[in-house]
Amino acid sequence: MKIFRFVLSFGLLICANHFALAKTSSAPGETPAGKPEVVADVASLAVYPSEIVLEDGDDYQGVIAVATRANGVTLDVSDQVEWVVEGSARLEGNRLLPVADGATVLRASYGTHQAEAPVKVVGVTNHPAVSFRHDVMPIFLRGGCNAGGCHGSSRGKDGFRLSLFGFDPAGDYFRLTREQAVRRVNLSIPEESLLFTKVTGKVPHTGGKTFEPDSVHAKTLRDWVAAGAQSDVATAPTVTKVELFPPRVVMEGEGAKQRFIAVAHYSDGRTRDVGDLALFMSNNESSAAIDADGLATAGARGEAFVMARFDTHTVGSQTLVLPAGVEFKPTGEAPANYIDELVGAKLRTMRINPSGICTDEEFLRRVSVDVVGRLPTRDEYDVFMNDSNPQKRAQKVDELLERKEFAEIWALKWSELLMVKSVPNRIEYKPMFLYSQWITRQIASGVPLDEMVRNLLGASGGSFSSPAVNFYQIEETTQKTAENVAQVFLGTRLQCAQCHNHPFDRWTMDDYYSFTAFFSQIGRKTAEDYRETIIFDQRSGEATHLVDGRAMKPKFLGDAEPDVSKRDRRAVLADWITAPENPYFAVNVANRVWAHFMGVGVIEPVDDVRVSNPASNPDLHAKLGAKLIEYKYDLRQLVRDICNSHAYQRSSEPNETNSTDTRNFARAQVRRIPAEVLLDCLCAVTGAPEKYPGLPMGARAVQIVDGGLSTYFLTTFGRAPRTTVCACEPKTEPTLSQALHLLNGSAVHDKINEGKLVETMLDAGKNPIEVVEEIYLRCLGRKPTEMESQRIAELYGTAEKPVAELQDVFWAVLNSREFLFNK
Amino acid sequence: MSKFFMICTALGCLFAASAVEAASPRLDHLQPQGGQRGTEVAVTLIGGRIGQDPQQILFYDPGIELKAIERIDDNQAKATLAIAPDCQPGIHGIRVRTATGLTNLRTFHVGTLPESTESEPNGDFAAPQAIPLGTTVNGVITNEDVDYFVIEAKEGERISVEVEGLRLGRTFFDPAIAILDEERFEVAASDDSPLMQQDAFCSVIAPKTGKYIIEMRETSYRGNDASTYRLHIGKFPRPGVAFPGGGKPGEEVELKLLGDPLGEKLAKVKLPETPPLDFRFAAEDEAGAAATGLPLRIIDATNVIEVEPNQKVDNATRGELPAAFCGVIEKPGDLDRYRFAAKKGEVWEMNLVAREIRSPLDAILRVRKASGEQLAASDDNAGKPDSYIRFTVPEDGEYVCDVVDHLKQGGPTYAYRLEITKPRLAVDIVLEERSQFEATEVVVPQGGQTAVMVTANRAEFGGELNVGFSALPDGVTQETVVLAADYNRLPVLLKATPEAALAGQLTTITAELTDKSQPLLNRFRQQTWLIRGSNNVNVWSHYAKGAVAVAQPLPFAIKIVQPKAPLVQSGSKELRVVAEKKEGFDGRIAVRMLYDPPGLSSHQGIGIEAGQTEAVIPLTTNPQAWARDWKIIVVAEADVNGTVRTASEFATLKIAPQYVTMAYPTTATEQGKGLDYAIAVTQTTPFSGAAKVELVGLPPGVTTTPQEITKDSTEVKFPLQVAADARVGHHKSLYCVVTVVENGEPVVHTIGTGELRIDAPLPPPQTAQEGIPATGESS
Repeated sequence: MKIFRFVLSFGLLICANHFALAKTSSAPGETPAGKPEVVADVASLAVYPSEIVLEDGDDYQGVIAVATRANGVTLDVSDQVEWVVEGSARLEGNRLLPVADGATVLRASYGTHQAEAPVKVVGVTNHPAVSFRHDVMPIFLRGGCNAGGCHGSSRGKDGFRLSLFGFDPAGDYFRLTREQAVRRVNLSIPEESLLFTKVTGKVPHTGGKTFEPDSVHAKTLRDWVAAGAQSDVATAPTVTKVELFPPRVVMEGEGAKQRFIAVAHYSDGRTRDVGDLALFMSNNESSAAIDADGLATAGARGEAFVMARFDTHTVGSQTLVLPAGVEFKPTGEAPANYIDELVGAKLRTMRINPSGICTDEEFLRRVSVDVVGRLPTRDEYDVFMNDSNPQKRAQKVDELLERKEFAEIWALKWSELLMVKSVPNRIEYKPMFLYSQWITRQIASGVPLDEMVRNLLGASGGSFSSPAVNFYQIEETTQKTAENVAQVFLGTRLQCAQCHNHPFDRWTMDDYYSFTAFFSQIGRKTAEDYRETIIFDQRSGEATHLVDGRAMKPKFLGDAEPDVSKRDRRAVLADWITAPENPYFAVNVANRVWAHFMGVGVIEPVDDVRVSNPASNPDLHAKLGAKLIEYKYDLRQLVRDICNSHAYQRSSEPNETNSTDTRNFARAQVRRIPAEVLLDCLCAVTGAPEKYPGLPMGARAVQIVDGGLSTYFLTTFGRAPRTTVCACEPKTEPTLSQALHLLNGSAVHDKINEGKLVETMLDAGKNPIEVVEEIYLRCLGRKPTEMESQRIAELYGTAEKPVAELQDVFWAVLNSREFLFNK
Repeated sequence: MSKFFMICTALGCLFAASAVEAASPRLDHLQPQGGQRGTEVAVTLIGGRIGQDPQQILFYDPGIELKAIERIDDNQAKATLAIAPDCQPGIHGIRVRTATGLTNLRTFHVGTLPESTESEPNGDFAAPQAIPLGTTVNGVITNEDVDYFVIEAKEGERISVEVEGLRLGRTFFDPAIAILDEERFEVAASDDSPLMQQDAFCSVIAPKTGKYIIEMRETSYRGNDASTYRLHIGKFPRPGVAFPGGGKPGEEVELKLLGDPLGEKLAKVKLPETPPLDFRFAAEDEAGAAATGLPLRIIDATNVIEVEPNQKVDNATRGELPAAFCGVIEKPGDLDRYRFAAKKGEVWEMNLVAREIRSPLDAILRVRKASGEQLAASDDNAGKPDSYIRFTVPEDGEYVCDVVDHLKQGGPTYAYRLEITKPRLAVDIVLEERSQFEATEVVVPQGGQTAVMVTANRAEFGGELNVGFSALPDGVTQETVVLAADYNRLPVLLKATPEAALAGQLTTITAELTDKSQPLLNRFRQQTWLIRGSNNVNVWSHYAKGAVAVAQPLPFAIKIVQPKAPLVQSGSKELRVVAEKKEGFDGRIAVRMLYDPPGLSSHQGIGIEAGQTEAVIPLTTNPQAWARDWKIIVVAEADVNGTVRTASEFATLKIAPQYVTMAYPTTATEQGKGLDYAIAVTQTTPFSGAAKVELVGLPPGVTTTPQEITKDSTEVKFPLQVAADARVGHHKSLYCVVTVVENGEPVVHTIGTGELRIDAPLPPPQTAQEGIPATGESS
C-alpha cells in the first residue's frame, strides 16, 4: 500500500508540476551525468514570466527559461540554466515560493547568456481562504465537469447541472449548495459531500474519477466546503487578462518539448500562476500536442496555436515545428512590395521557398477572372502578350480596376454577405432591387468602405427612399442582427455567447447582450406602400440578459461602454466599428479582399476571427488592415497592392519545400471559378447569353439582384443561397452533379450549338488550326501546346470544315479543369 | 315530353336570348385612358359584354359629356367624349350602362396637354422619341422596357414631368422617371412621391438650353402589357403641396403652392359649400396647368397659420378651438407648437392631417399641459402615417400640441393641418360587397326588384335609424326596415315598375335618426378596388358615390313562402323559395339569403334547378341567435347571357326562444342490459298538440324509438335497447330533436346534451386451476 501511494504521489507530482522533478529526469539537451550541455549558437535567453509578484504566503509562480538560437529555433532550457534567487523568495524545482516580504531578482545563466526577472513578495503571513469564483469554478472547467457532454448540458447530467463552461457562477453556486440540501455539499463532513465523493470516484459517477482524492483540486474542493462553502461570486475580483508564456515557440525536430506557463491578472491588480487550473489546448495536435499541464511536444512539420483557457479568457502562442536537420537555402527574390516582405519573412521562418512567378498568360487569365469576373478576350490577350513594357502587369491591374465589372463583383460579394434576397410575404423585390443598386453604386463610385458601413449601420428611413435600411429589414431580430454585424464587419462569431460564454473565444454572455443592446431600439413600421418598411430609432427598448434578465447597457465588443444617451445607438456603434483604432474592422475587410484573390485568408475562415483561430501570418494580417486604413478604405488601392505582389503572381506549381503548405502563400492556389462568374465566362466564350428574370437579355449572372432568383446551373455550382451572412455560403467544392451537368447537361452542349462559334469562324475563312487556337485562347487564355494541336489535328484530319469535330474540341475544352479553375 | 313542347322550349330560349341580350357588362379598360380637356376624344371601352347595347356613361365628376356611344363588337364599344375646357384635370370615375346592366367603375384621366402615343423603338438613350415640350404621352412599359423621350428646353424654363401609371388603376405598376441631360447626367429623378404614391413627378428648372431626355421605366425593370402610362411632359406648374391645405366650406382660401422650382406661388380657391368626396385644386399659371390636382380639406374650423418661432411652450402659436392649426416643418429637426385653452371634460378630436393632403411629413403629435407634462402622443393611426388623438380635457387650463416629423426630417413642402374639432355625430355607411373586393353594382330589372345590404356604423351616438338611397331613377322605389339601435346592418329592396325607363343614376345612401332629434353627418362612399398587392392589400382604390341602374326585365322572379311558424334558437327550419320562370327560361337559379341575422346560418349552395320551380334553403340557428322578427330577403342569380340578379319581397322570419327545456340524467348500463332513459321536460312556450321527440347521438348498438310530448308533459322516457356488443364507453353527445307543429309547420328544436355510459359486464368469478389459465378461455 505504501508503495502504491508512493507511486501515486510520484505520478501526481509529475502531473502537477514537472518542474519539481525535471532536474532528475533526462530532458533533451542534457547529458546523462546531469551537467547541462550548452547549445553553441544560442543568440538570446529569456526568463518567463518577466516580472513576478508573490502576494500571499501560499502564492507561487512557475518559471521557465527559453533560449533562442540564431536560426530562430527556441529551446526550453528551464532545466539547463543555472537559477539563482536570494532573499525574499526561494526556488523549489521550477516553482518560485515566497520567503519574506521584500524584493529580489531571479537570475538564470545559460553558458554566456544571462536573463533575469524582478521578484516582489508581499503578505507572506496571509493565507487566503479558498475562493469559489477563482479556485472552485476553474476546477469545473479544467475537469471538464461543465462541458456540454457532462453537467454543462442544458438539461444537466444525472440530475446535476452546471452552467456550460461556467457562464453563470451564481447559478452554479445555487445548484451546488441550495438545490439539494446537504447532499452536494455537507458542511459537517466535507468528505461526504457529493461534490467531493463524485469527483474522486468514491461513489459511482458517470464521469468516472475526475481527480485523485489527494490531488490539489480535490483538496481545494474539500477545503472550500470545510470553510463553509462560501460564495464570493458578487465580490470576487474579475480576471482581466491571462498571459501564456513563452509567446512564440519554434521547435525543431519531432519530440522537442516546451513547457508553457499561464498567468492570470485580476481586476484588483493581483497576478497568479494558473498552470494548475487553466485548460491547455492546441489547434493542431499533430504538430504540437500539449498535455494537461502545459507541456508541448513537437510532432510533424507545421504550425500550431497552443492555447490556455482560464475563466472566460483564451490566449495562445504561435508554435512552429520544423523538421530537424533540413538544409534550407532561401531564394533571393526581391520583394515587390510590403506584402512580399511579410510573406517572405514567414516563409523563411518556416524554411519554405515560394514557387516562381507565373507566366503572362496565366497572370492575364487569373487577374481578369479575379478582378472583373471575365475571361480576357482575344484582343486583350494579343495586346497584353505583345506588350513589352515591364510594367504591363501593373498597368493591366489598373485598367481592370477602372472597369464597371469590378464594382459588380464586389457588389455581388456584399450582396451575399448582406443577404440581399426577396422572401415571399416578407421582403419584396423592389426594396431588394433598390438595395442592390445602392450597394453597387457605393462601390462603383468609390465610397470608402468605412463610410459605406456607417451609412448602412446608422441608416434610418424607408426601405425605398433609404435603401441602406434594408440591412435591418432582411434580418428583423435584434440578436441575429447583432450577430450578423459582428460576423460581417468584425469577422467574429458571437452566436455561442447567446446561451453561454464562448468556449474558444473571449466573448461572454455579458459581451453578447451588451452588444445586442446597440440594436434593441430599432423601430419598424410599414410605410404607405405596404412593400416599404420604415426603420427608425425609437429611443426605447433594452437588451436583457438571458440568465438574470438584466437590462444590458450598450458596450463595444472588448471595449468601452459608450455614452448613447443623445444618439442613435447604431450610429455610435458604426463610428466605433469604422474608427481606425478598431482592432477588427479594417483587418477583417482587408482579409476578405485578400482571400478573394489568394483563395485563402490570412485568417481562415475569414469570418471566424477568434483567439483560437489566429492569423497564419499575424504581421501580414495587421499590415493589410493598416494599409486599408492608410488608403482611407479605398478598396481599389488594396487590390492593386495584392495583385502587384509576387505572392499573387506566383505559379501554382509547388516546389519541394512548399508542396504541403496551403496557408503561407508560397504558391498560387488553384481555385474553382465561382458560380456566377463561371456561367458568365461560359456565356461569353460560347457567345450564347443567358436570360435571367428581371434582367435584359445578355445581362450577366453577377448582376442578378435577388438571391432568391437562381438557375439550375448557378445552384449546382454553389451560388450563395444568401440565407446567412457566412462567407462560406458560396460553394466552390466540386460535386458530381456539376460534372454531370457539364458533361451531359444542357449548359455546355446547348451553348456551343446556340453560339455557333465554330461555324461562324469557319465561315469567316479560318482554318481548323486557327479555330482550335481561338477556342483555346477564349477559354483557357493560352494557345494549345504542340502536342494538343497535334492530337486535335488527328481528330479532324484533312476536313476543311470539320464542324462536329471542332465542336467536340470546344466541348472538351469547356469540360476541362483548366477552364473551370483559376490557376 | 312531346316533341312540340321541346321545340317550343328551344324557341323560347332563343327568344329569351335575344330579349335579354347581355347581363353583367364589364369595363376592363379604356383605350386611350385619358384625353386633353377642351377636346373630343374617341375612347374604346373594352370589357366583357360591354358592346351589347351600350346606352350611357355615368360620370361621377362634372366636365365630361358623352357625345355618342356605339358597339364595336360584343366586348368593345366606342364612346365619343367631349371634355370641357374647364374640366378638372385628373381622375374621373365612370361606369357604362348597357340595356341589361351597369359595369364596374373605371377611371378616365383628363389631361391639360395635347396627347400623343409612344412609338417603339424608343428604348435607346441615344435614339429617343422626340416630342414637343408640352405633351401627354400614352405608352406602355413591357417587361424590362425603358422608354426615352427627348424634348428641347431653354435655360431657366421649368420642365415638369408627371406620370400616371399606378393611378390608372390597371395593374400594380410602379413607374420611375428621370430627366437626363445629353451627357446622361441626371437633372432630376423620381420613383415614388408622397403626392403620387407609387407614381412619380419631377419639376426642375432647365440648367441650360438644350435637349433633355426623359427616361420612363418600371422601378425594378418589371412591367407587362397592362403597365400603361400617361406621361405629362411640359412647362406646367407641378407643386407638391398646397398650404394651408384646406378651409371652411364656401370659404375662399389663399393657397401657397409649395415645391415649385420657380418658387412659392399663390393661388386663390373657393371651396364648395358641400364638400365632395375628393376635392382637388390643380395649379395653373401662364406656362400651363398641372395634370392632376392637390387634395384640399374642407372642414368647419378656422385656419390658424403658425407663427415661427413656435418651438417652445411659451412662444407656441395660439388659437381658439375648434381650429385647424396649419404649419410646415420647414427643416430637419423642426418642432412646431400650438397652444389653446380648454375646459375640463371637453372632448376634442385632434386630427393631424399631413399625408392626407399628400405632404411628405410623417407626423408625430403630442399633447401636453402648459406645464410641459405630456398627456398623449400619436404617430400613425389606422394604418396611415397621419396622427389622431381623442383628447378628453383633464382640467380647465391651457394645453400645447407638438408636431414633429417621425424621422426628424423636414423641408419646404412638409405641410400639415392640425385639425382640432368637437366629435361629430356621424354614420359611416357602406354598401356591402356582394363578393369580396368587388364593389356592388345596383341594377334593378324593369318590373322586378333587387336587394342590397347596407352597413351603418354609428359614431358618437346611438338609436334607431332610417337608412336609404337618397336618389333613385324614375320608376324605382325602395323598401327597407328601421335599423334597430342594437344592430348595424339592414337590407334595402329596390323595385322598378315595368314602365320604368332604362336609366342610370348616381346616388348616395343616407341615414337619419328615426326621431330626427339630432342631425347626423353621413359618410357614404363606395370603394372600387383597382389594384391589390400581395395578401390583397389595398394598393389603389377609387372612392365614389353609388350608382343605381334600371335594366331590362328578367325572365324569372322569386318569392319566399312566408313562414307560418317561428325558427327557434338552436333550431332549424327549411325556408321555401318559389320561382316564377317565364316561358322560355328554365335555367338554374341560385338562391340564398341576402343576409343572415346574427346567430343564423343559411345554406349558400341552394339552387332551383332546371325543370324545378321550388327549392328550400336550410336555416339553422345557434343558441345565441337574436330572438326577434327579422325582415329577410332571398336573392337569386342566374346566367342569362351573363349573371343577372333579383330578389324576393321581404318576408318575416321570427326567431324565438325554445319552447321547452330538458334536463338530462347521466345514466349507466351494461352491454346487453336495456334501460329507460328519462329526461325531465320544462315547458316555456305552450304549444298545442303532440310534439315528436327523437333521441339522437346514441352509440352503435343502442336503439330506441321516438316519443311524443304534449304541453303537459314533464318527462319523456326512452326505452333503450342495448345490444351485447354496444360500444363501451362514455357517450356524451346525446340530444333530442323536438319537433313541435305550429300552423302546420314544424318547429324543430335541438336540445342537448345527455350522457350515457356503457360498461362491459364484469367477468364471471374464476378460480385458477393448474394448467388452465384464469381467464377460462382455454377450454
